Amino acid sequence: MDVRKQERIGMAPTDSMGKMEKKDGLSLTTYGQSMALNADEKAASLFKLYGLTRGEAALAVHLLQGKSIEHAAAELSISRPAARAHLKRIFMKTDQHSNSETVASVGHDVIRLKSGEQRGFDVAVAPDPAGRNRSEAVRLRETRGVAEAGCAPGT
Amino acid sequence: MAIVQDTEDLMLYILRLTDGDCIVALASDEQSAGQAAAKLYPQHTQDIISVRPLDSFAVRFSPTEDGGLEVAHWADAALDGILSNEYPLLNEAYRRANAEPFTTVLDSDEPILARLKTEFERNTDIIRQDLRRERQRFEHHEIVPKSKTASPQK
Repeated sequence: MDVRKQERIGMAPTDSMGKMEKKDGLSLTTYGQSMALNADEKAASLFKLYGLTRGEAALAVHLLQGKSIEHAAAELSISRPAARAHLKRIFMKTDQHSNSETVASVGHDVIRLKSGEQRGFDVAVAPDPAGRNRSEAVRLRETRGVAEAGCAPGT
Repeated sequence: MAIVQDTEDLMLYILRLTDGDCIVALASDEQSAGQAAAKLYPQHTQDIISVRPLDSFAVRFSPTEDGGLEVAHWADAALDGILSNEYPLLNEAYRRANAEPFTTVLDSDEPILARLKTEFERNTDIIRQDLRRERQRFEHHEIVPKSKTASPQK
């Protein structure tokens, strides 16, 4: 990933394990070109922006892939009631975080990651109504959201 | 003279009421369980539909912001048993909802978390519909049973 782009969107280069990095208050999982994470891992990591646990994020990704709760729960070795409880917590957390605009922005970026092939974290795409480029808008909102919620990387 | 009851003789009983609620009470037999329930809902004691001992029961509850205690987690076996016995229509609704595939949205331009929430709401609607039927199942029940009268499914 271009270092200048990393600086522009406020991310620091990651280590090979893709750990959460902090730079100027931004807590975000980033992906370098050399990282061999699959699309699911990328999507799950992005869910950490909302303070989700690894289990909650994994469940969300399974369901977004079109699986049933029963199927997803079986694959994650959790009970169906637990899966439903996970989902409720996901929406509680995401609702707390935000305005739907932030959700929409980051959600869109997850999609971009899903469709990309081993590329860097590229969220610089479209200008927002305020005239900033989208990556900057996302960065500002996410910085505020993570800081206010005091979210630590999920486990 | 106080009667000292041997706690080894006590069991947890669950009582299903006509309004859809259930009461869990520690008692020596079904009649005592009914009496214990009457203390909780004295005006509803005539609305007990079924009584049975619980094979398994464990819940985790947490204090809420307003100081109440809210069940946060059910032991799977306890929940499964109660759903299948006391709430068979709700249990069937859960089975259908849990088997319903979510719509694949990862390749869409839609905001995925918002879409996931919509999908979950749609899924939960399946349960809500049958929950209404489950609550109304004994709405017009007039019998005053002393013991198990419903036919719980095992």
